[in-house]
Amino acid sequence: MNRFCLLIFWLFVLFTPALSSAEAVRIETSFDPPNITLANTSTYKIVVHGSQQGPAGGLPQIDGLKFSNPPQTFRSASFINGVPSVRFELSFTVTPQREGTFVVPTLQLTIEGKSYQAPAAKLSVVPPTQADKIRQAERRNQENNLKQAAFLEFQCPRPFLFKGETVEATVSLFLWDKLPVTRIDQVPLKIGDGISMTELGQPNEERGVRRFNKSYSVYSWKFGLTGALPGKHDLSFGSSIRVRVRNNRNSRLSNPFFNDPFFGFGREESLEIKSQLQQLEIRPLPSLLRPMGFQGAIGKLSINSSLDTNRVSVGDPIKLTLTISGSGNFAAMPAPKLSIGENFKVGPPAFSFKGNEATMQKGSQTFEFVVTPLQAGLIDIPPVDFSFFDPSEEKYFSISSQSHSIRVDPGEIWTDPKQNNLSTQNSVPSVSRQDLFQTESEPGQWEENLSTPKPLKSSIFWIAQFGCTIVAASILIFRIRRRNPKLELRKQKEKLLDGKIREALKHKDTSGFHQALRRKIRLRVGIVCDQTNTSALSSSEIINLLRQKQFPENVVTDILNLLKVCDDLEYAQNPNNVTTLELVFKNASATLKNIK
Amino acid sequence: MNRIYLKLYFIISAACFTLLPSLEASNNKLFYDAVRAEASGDLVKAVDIYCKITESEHSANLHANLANLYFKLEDYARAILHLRKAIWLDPENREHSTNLAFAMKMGGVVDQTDLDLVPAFSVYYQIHWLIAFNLLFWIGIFVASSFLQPSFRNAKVYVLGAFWIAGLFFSGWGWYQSNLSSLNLNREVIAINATTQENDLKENLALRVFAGSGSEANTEVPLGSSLFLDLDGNDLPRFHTSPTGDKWFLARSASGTNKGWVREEEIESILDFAIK
Repeated sequence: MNRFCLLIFWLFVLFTPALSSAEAVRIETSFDPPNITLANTSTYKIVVHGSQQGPAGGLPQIDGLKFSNPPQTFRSASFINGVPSVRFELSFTVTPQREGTFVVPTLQLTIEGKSYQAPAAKLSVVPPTQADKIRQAERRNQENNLKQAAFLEFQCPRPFLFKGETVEATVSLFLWDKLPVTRIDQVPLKIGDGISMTELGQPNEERGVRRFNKSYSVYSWKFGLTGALPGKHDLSFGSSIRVRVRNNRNSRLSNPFFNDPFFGFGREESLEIKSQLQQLEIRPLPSLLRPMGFQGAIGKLSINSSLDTNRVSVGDPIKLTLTISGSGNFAAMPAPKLSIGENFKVGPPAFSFKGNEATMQKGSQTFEFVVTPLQAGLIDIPPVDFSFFDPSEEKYFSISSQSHSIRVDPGEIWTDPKQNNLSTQNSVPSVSRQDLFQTESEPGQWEENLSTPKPLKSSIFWIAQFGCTIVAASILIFRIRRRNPKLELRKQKEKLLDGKIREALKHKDTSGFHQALRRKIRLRVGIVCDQTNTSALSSSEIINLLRQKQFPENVVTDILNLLKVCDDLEYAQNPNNVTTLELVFKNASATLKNIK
Repeated sequence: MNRIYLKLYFIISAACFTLLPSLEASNNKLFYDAVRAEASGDLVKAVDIYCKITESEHSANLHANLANLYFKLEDYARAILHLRKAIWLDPENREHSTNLAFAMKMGGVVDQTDLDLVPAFSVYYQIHWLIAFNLLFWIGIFVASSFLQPSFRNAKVYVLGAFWIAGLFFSGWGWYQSNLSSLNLNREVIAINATTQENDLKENLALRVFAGSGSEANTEVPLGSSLFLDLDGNDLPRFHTSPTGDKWFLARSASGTNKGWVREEEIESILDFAIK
């Protein structure tokens, strides 16, 4: 097999140049058939002889003719009487738009870099024959049949909704009884924004519904439709079903549904179904006369309230149930605000809905509050106000529940029977029971366990300790590495000299003062100029070193003067002149600060 | 193999994160059920629900409500126990402390547990002391290693060092005291009635000479009193298992004067402790 393929390859390699160069390039154009009726199509062919390369160029726009794009291509190579021949074909399907004679003019095409002329071609389109008209009518009929075989119908009770309003809408899938549907692939999906809907549950099935003189099975879904964004919104529904079809290869339309309306057995095909586009307007709620307590409830509603008991002790919880019934947007309805005074502690409500849970539109919504009385006495629970917007009357309404009176006992006073027997004086505990042991209606913060903290067993603690140890050790290592023993020794010497200078100043030791000051100047200059043996530096060497280091001239002059003063006054023996010493010390300190 | 462990870790973590909020939500629901049960007068059912919640989670309000119920059922010992738990969870709530004092008065219990305790050295400040000690220690170390010269001739170094050591000593002492308080609380139990039947409620708990039902009482303490369990070398309560399978613990009163063996059903710890 591999050898055969190799042989074919080499034959192709050897003969391709020969084939392409053996024949001169020639172009033919034609319509096949050249005469058609308006109901039929023709094929426009461009045949290039002598080349297998596709021609480059464009087709002109012919008014009344529609060319298919892209065209079909066909390459061929053959030997005719020992002469190699190659050909390249381009076929466009042409659909006439009107009757008449159409001419595709001469075309300029480029093949292998050279320009060639394709001749003009003529197509004659005549009016449809009777047979064509019958076929067209049949086809329309089949298309209608297909449209009527399965379709979706969407019903909304009103052409407009208010923002936040919920209505019960229905979407129905009609399936012709003769359509061999195997299953519903996709329940109807909403197409369009600005409107939200509840989930579709199980459909209602109805058989034998007559439409278009046909019998249908109808699957209907009821759902809640809520206006979300004000404005006009297009709304439609899409679904898909699976049907059994028979392969019909001879069909001209190659559509498995058209030529065989009864389908029959064969493969399964998916059939997409769309409902008609419907425009729905979402109107904003009127702001005029909107009640203060309006929280977004829309519908036709009523309120009712009840208590589970009307006599309790202080601290004992009571169940206050508010029930809102009717039709409305229950899915988005918040709990009414409970303002029943400071005599009660109110917990968060528990919600429950009774009614059609698929649409959440009709039924009753219950809000169950746990209310704890905090004071004893006959206490009224005031009516609870509730406001809603009625979309049918386009008005706001405020309604109230009934008020309730409850008797709150202070609770029993605890008496210790033992104490009673022993002494009647201490019969009642000093603490009033009514302030004690109030039942909390909220659980508060949950804790997983009751245990004392064990920080020494915590990994975070030990990680922190380890981290601190590492940081401290790093600082120490860094400081030890940066240590310069020579420099530290000199600084220590400088400190000692400082001490000596102060000592001398204190004891008015002129000689010692100047001696120590000179040594300090030497030492400081030595440190700054990296001199090892500072004690051997003469005054002139010090000045030279400072100049080499390019210190400012005034600093050098000051040092020079200081050294001169030291030299002059070291042996001056003038202990009374303390002011001079102090002055020299201040000058020296100021000057030495500049040498760093 | 490591990848399998990693996957298992992620799956378990995800499951925990998913299940924890649901556990909390279900406990909230149970709590509300218990409140409703109490409101409807079914105190025993409310107690059962609260006790079921305590198997997985705790809250101060839950234990306070439970104490309230036991108080109504005249089981003052358990009321005291749950108020102690509520106070542990919410020490700032003065209502619980007042209620505890009242319940102890009703139960005839003298509070001896916190007599010697300075509040600052209580278990609640254990972490604070440890943090103070640590901060002081490490600040000292960092300052010394960063800025101080190894000069022992400077008097300031000695003064600072003395302050530092004194501070360390004080915060260490605070930590030690609060740790002792924590250890005590961990081994503290409340004497309760072994049965919850109303007609079988006793007033005192016998501390027996030997670990056996037939043993005579060494002494008695009122129910609701605090007792402290003796610990073994592993800091676990010392216990003895009788031939009948009963577990006996050696407990002593807060003052240490009353001492004897008690059955595990006759006591309940304030914090989670491995006695059950």
